[in-house]
Amino acid sequence: MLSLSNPIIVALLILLVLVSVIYIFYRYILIPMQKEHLQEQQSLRLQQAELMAMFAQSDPDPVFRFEIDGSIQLSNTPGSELLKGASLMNMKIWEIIPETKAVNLAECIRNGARLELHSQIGSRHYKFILCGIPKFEIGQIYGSDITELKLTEGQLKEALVKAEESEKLKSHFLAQMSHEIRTPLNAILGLTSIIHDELKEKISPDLRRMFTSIDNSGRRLYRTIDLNLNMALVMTSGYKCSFQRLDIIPIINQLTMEFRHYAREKNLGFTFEESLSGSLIFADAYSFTTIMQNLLDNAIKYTREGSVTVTASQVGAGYISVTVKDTGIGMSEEYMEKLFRPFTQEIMGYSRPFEGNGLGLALSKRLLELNKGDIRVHSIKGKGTEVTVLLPQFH
Amino acid sequence: MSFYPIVVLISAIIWLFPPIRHYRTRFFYFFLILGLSDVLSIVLLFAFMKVVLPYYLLVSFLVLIALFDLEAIKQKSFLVMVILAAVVVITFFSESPAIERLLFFVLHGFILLRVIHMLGLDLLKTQALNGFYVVLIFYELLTLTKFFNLLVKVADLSVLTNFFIVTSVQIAIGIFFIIFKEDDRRIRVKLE
Repeated sequence: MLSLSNPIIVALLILLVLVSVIYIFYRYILIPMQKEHLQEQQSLRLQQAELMAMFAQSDPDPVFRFEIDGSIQLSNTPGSELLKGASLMNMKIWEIIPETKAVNLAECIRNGARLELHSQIGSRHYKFILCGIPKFEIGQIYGSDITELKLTEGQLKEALVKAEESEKLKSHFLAQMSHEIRTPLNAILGLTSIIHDELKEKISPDLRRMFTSIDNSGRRLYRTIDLNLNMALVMTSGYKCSFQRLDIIPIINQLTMEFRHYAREKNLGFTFEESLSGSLIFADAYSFTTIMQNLLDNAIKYTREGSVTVTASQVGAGYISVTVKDTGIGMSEEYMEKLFRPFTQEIMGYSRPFEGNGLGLALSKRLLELNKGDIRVHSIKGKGTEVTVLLPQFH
Repeated sequence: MSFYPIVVLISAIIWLFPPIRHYRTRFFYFFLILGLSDVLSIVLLFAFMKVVLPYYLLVSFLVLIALFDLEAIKQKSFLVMVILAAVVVITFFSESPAIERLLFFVLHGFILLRVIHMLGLDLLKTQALNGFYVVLIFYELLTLTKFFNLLVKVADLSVLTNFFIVTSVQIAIGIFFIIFKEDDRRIRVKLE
């Protein structure tokens, strides 16, 4: 019954051998190997931890590590220096960074959250980044000294306030100047005209010419001041457009009446033609009038003989164009490049043959930009100039 | 009534309890297949009055599959299907008993290796020898040696006596599995 032919005995014997082999293999080979491996892993982890500690140590900014209950576990030298040499033992993180008191640290750690905190410690300002590390159930805080940044920020805020005050002062000054200069000038021009009308039959031709000279100089002064003030307003973004539906034909008709008089004085032809299906634009009335005044003034000013032609026509894609063409002195290609720069004329200096301060086209361009329009200039030296203004049509 | 059928009946009844004991453990399906296969084998024995080897081959395959995690089976479902197809083909179409016996040894060899593998993993994890796996290995070795003995006919005892002894040991093993579960601390022997 206990012979090797009995399957139970055979099974038991095989089992005994098998279990012995497994036992010996695991007890004396595999488990020691596993232990050794675990020890190596632990030593590697320790080395890594030391390396990480060194990394944090060499950081010039404060670094803290804390546990789930807020107890500080580690800090680097800059971190310890925040406490002015006090021991970190048994300290909570909110004793150093009070802002962390309002944060649920346990939840931050569990969720691996990342928070930004700003704190003032002593006289210094710090930005702290709090990171939860769920794997090790710890949190780390990385700080950076932002005192200089805060100071600069304060200075910038101060500068901004000053700039805003200065902007207000400037606007006020411009408005004041505009009023203070235009009002007496209008009085001078108006009263001179009345006196001239009263005395024109009684005075000599020389005195009449003097009156004409006073009138011309007064108008030149008025226009120069007007242009300078408008340019200053546009350049400093002080000018606010008042957009409205505008019919350009009556405005151009009014201006042509005014400028035809000057053209006649210079024996120049002056015509206005229009081929518009609709003459309405959506623009600022003052801008459009000023632009047209400048273009017409330039055309007449720089033309000695020939004519000035104004044409208004339809352009595709919903634009209306107004072209002022003259047979004047024209412009060189070199000057065309700086045409829209303020205070530039092709011939500058006291001996320049034409009066003006080189603001007309520069101001016109700025005003057109504000009105979502465009300006195109074509000129041939000695032949004449063609200036085209494009403005969006009102539908 | 003869004494031997009673022993077989008791064994079949005893092996119906381990699946209940191991419900919701990873050995539930393993014991369920073993318990049900015992009852079915008795029915087949009475029906055909002989041992039906193809039936045992299918049961062996299912027992082997039951020892693996469901996820692992899903991942290697193609391989499982191929082996199942091979087993079915050999079971129903092969007329060579030698091939059927070889397949039986191969399947039980794999079951034995799988249990040894499980024992090894547990040893590494707990650093203790788990008696549960030792008894399981013994049960599997018993099945293999019983079958081997039957094939080479080296038994010097009468077939019935032999059968009675093996069945009695299997009853004892069944009781062991009713009492102890895989994670029972009482059947663990620390290696240190």
